[in-house]
Amino acid sequence: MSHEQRSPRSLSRRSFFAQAGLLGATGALAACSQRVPRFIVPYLVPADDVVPGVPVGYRSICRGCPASCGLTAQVMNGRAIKLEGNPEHPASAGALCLVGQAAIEELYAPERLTGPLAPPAGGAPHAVPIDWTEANRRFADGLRQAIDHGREVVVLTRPESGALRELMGQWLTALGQPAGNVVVFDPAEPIWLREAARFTFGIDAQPLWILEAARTVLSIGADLVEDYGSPVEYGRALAAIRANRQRRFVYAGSRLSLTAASATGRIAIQPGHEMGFVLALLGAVLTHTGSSGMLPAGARTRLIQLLQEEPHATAAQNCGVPSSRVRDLARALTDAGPGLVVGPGRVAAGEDATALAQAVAVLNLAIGAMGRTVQFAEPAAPALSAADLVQHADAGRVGALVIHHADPVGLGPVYDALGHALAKIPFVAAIGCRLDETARRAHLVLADHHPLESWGDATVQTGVHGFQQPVMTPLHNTRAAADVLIDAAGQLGRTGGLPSGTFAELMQDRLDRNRLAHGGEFAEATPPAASPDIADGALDQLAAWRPPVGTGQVPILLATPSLRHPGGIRSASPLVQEVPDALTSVAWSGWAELHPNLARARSLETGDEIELVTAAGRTRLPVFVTPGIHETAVAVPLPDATALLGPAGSLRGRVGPVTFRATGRRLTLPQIGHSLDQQGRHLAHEVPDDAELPARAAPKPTGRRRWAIAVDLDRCDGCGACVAACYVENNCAVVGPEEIARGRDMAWIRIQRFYTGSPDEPRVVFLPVMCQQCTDAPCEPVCPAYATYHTDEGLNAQIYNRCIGTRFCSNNCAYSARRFNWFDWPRPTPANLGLNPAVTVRSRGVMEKCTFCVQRIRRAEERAKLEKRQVREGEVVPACAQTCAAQALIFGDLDDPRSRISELARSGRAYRLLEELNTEPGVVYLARHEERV
Amino acid sequence: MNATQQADAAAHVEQDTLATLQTPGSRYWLLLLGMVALTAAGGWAWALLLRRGLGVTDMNTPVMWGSLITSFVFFIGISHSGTLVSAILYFTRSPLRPAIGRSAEAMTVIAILTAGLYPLMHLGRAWFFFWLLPYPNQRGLWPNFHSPLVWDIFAVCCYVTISALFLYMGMLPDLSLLSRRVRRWRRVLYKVLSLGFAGTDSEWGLLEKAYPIFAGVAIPLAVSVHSVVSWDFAMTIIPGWHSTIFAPYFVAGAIFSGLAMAIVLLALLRRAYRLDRYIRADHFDVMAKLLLAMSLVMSFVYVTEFTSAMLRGSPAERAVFVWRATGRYALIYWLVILCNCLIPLFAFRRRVRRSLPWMAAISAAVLVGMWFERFMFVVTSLAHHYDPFAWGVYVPSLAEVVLCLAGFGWFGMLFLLFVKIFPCLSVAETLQGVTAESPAMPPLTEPEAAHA
Repeated sequence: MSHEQRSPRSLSRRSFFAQAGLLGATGALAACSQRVPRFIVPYLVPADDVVPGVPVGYRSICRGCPASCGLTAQVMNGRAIKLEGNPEHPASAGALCLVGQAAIEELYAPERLTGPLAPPAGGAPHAVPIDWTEANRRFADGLRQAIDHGREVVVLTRPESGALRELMGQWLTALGQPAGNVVVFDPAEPIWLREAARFTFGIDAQPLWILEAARTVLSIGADLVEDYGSPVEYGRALAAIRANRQRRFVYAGSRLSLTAASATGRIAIQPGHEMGFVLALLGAVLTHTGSSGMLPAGARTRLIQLLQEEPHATAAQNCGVPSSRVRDLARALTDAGPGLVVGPGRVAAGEDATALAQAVAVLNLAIGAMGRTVQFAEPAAPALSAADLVQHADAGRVGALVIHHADPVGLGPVYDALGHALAKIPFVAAIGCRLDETARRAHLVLADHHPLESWGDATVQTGVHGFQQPVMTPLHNTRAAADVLIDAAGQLGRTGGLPSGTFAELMQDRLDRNRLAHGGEFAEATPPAASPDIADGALDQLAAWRPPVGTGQVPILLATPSLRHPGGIRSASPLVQEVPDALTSVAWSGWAELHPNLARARSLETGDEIELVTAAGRTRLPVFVTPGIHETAVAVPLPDATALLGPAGSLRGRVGPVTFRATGRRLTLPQIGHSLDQQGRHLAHEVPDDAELPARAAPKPTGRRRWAIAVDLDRCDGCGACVAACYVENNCAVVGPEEIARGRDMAWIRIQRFYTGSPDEPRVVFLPVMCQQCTDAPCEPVCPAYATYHTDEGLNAQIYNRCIGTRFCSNNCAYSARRFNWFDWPRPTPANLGLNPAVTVRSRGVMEKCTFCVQRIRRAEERAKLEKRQVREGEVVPACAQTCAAQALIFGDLDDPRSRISELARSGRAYRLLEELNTEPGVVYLARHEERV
Repeated sequence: MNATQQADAAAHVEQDTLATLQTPGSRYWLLLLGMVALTAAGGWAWALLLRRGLGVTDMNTPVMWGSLITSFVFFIGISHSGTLVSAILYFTRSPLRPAIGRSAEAMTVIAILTAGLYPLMHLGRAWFFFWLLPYPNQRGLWPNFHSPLVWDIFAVCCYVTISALFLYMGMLPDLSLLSRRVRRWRRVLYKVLSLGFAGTDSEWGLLEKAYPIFAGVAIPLAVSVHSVVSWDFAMTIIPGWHSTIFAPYFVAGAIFSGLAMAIVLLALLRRAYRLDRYIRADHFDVMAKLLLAMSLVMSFVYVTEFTSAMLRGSPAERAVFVWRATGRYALIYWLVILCNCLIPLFAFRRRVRRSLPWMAAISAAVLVGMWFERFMFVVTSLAHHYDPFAWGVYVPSLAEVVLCLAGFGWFGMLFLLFVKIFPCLSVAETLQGVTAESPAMPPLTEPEAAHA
């Protein structure tokens, strides 16, 4: 080596500057990166009670809908990863619905607001991030201007029942405003029920249905599972009715909804003929009961007279239900213990909804249900209505509007007036988690915590007070809504009556610390109240009833509620949209249901796009042909029907006449089901209700554990909570509508819907199908790489990193239970932080499937081993079974003759899917009872 | 025939064979360019698959196998008639063999090389393909010998080895013979490849001993390889796949399609190189008869398969067969019946059998029919599985169509290169024929030449 040559370590001036420049640029770039959490584990030194890898449960409440079910948030390594129902909470009883399961997704949603935003300035198209000092200043300024100009400050909020709702009143008072300047934005509230209660009994409150107390329940188009805020509570109640042979649940309506599918009997009613049916039933009840019942004699006489007048008599006669059926029902409602008539539900509610609700109230009175199976909620705190707000805004009286988690603009024409009114308010501040349509029109957007990051409480039923506590440190630069309000009042120097300190401190004082670990205070069920007295002139509304306009014409548009979109507001959650509607098996997209006869008459097939036109608007949707809808109706799910609804202010389901025409386009629906019926295959078994079935022989114990799950088809109501729970627990990918339309959903459990019975009187059976964990699994021998094999606990295991993706196993699976990773599915930051660390995230090119939540099995086994004992019965519960409100899924050891699962496997209703293939599945199905009427 | 005539004939054969090796014309180059372009397009599509994932195809749940597996089975089938027919002809000392043996054997090897690509493309993680092979590794894991896919790998590997050796051994004397008549790189190549074969009596004796062994092994192997490929399907529980008829059915189908491909290639060779004297109307006549016979066998299989499905108890199986004929893929089903069962019936006429265009057209139809037949049974059975709720449909995506066409491009490219680099007629055997029979060479002017 020559001496002239430089040592490689020496640095020339040029290369020094080059490298320094590079370093500087890299550093600058790194510093410019977005404020997103960048740590896999959020802390270096954990709290004392945190063991890495072991989930800790915190009790809180779900804010997915006003039902506010209790939940247990499973927190692992400082991050919430899974929500489960709080078993102590009376409403949830350990279960959560589909929306509740998906609520955790919002916490990690990339679309969530990461901090306060100011409106676009200087022609910029997007709102600009600001810091909280600036945000607070602007908020206080906006309020000050309104107050200084002598204008009103109004709060528009989603239904709130706890401390926050009280605080809003106090805050308004502190600002010198009327405490009632609160508008509760609850578009889905069935106001016809409240109106009917007011007219009939003088009570301004929603009725509460006590299903548990009733022996025979009749639903007038009331979709309890979908529409009454608590699929968990009602799902459990309906399953209990189905399981008890002495009880009946009859659904009278125009559409075979989830609730109708869970009924023990169904009466098809032409849309618009609900009143006729109720009147006919009322007549039959009055004839049957003679002089008994809670109906005062005067009202009774007036009623009998009314039933003979026109148009009531004709309507009752022409309701289309055989009189023998009506008589039977009347007898069942009155004689067989407490009866209950629920409704009218949304799909039965047209323009005559209030009169119909009144007829139902009178019917409940006549069958003696009032006070026993029907009670009333506590009247809501005084508040403005949305119409009042519009009126005030139009008059220029509103100076500032604080919107709290409400998106009226997103609902389309229904709240057009409110949307327009926003433009007339000088200062609009939106508090929320997302930049929704309403927030886009606001002058200031204040990013709120996710409910899992903040304090709160909710009182839904009398005696049920759920506590909401933060389960992890906030992910983003957000602030609790209450703190923002308190701060602003402080800046304005108007703190009179407001608590000092933060909302968190307030809540910690307010909530009973000893009950925090239980999730709230739950009193015993309230004793039955006395029947309310019938008000004077109560029957006038009913007497004034006239048949709704347009019922003679066909078809009628039904805007149907969906439990995937509580309150009729389209869920922003990709997971909620990914889980298909159980009846149509369609995910993401909307659709228009047509009866086969109507579709045939108009030469339409499933997938044809039609344009629907009502008096209020028009929209385009693909057709879905189903026998579960009345021939004279077209049903559209509520979020998709909003364009067709007038500015009614309340989402009534029986909209009115609709016309439609084919656009000529054909769409591939993102649906997972390809057949409406079983095509002669014996997959979902039904047994006659009164069948006495011989018990099946008990399998010989082998001395080795055999994990198994029982699926009670009699209990499954197709709510889809198990599917969502599985997605969250097992890090299943959400693939979006295009990939679902291509047949690439990644669900490990799917709910198969089969129409059974005759085309005129269809029934529905829901068949949840997951990997059957076959003893003699066809998938195992065909894998060339040994990526799937059998464990000695009877599980069919899949080794992801051994899989090379020949997909032979999936071909050979008779249950089509396996899913292939066609791509690396995107999980944008921070969505990846919500992944369950106990479950591998599968890369592209490998096969995956249900594991019976093997991570939970292992955790229980490890715990048992540490405690030197065997795994106990019920200690392992997979995510799907854990969240099943109807308790249709039961998990356990089939080899243990004392376990619940082996008892169920011996039941006469027990069978396995495709038994003739001799795969000996580890999933035991229990046949569904046919309907009883 | 006197010695001069024999020498003349021998010179002719050598000349004609050498003529096929001459610098190609523009049409050859154009054809080769087309094939290379198709192959390149396939390379692009494969790169896409590797880069983005198998989602680039349109496969889905439940149709997890589609056009790629179809092409695999099809090309394995194409490979069939080569070695098998050549070996049979060898044992029967048929005068056909010198004419068609070499190209048929080459076709076999090239077809397997094509077929073998498809399972690789088709893997979810193609970069771990070697996990399918039994090799000592630190994981201490063997492949799963229960899996028909593993049997498949053994069968195909054996078959390609034997076929290649069979082709090569048969070519040894020719390489040695021709190495004296060619120049430059070809001379070096032939010299090296001829392994010093000088045509001595002892060498011929050894060759004569070894050759029948390969031929003898090749025949059962040819039957077994497609039987094993059929077990990829028959060993499953899938309605429409799970059937004992599959092994003979696949072998018959393979011979059928292989024969069709051989006829197409020979027709092209004869046309391109004016080998009318070697590949004669008689040869086409015989091959056409075999094609016709295989077509009848296929028709028989279709009827058997259908009726046994109908008579068997499984509703799923009945449904699949009815659906094939009436459902979403009915057009393909009837296309298959038309191409595989009806069009070959024209070969009952002698004039058709002896006509080059007719036979080429019929064979092309059979190739189309056989590809779609493979497609039909792969896809329809999966799409119409046990669970009606989980049924599906499958239409190949653009990338898959490109990959399927690229298979033909790759096949054509290799075959075009083969006929230019190696003698596609067996000089030695033709000469043997010349010396053994008399008169070996028919006059150049034959009535059927008019058809050509």
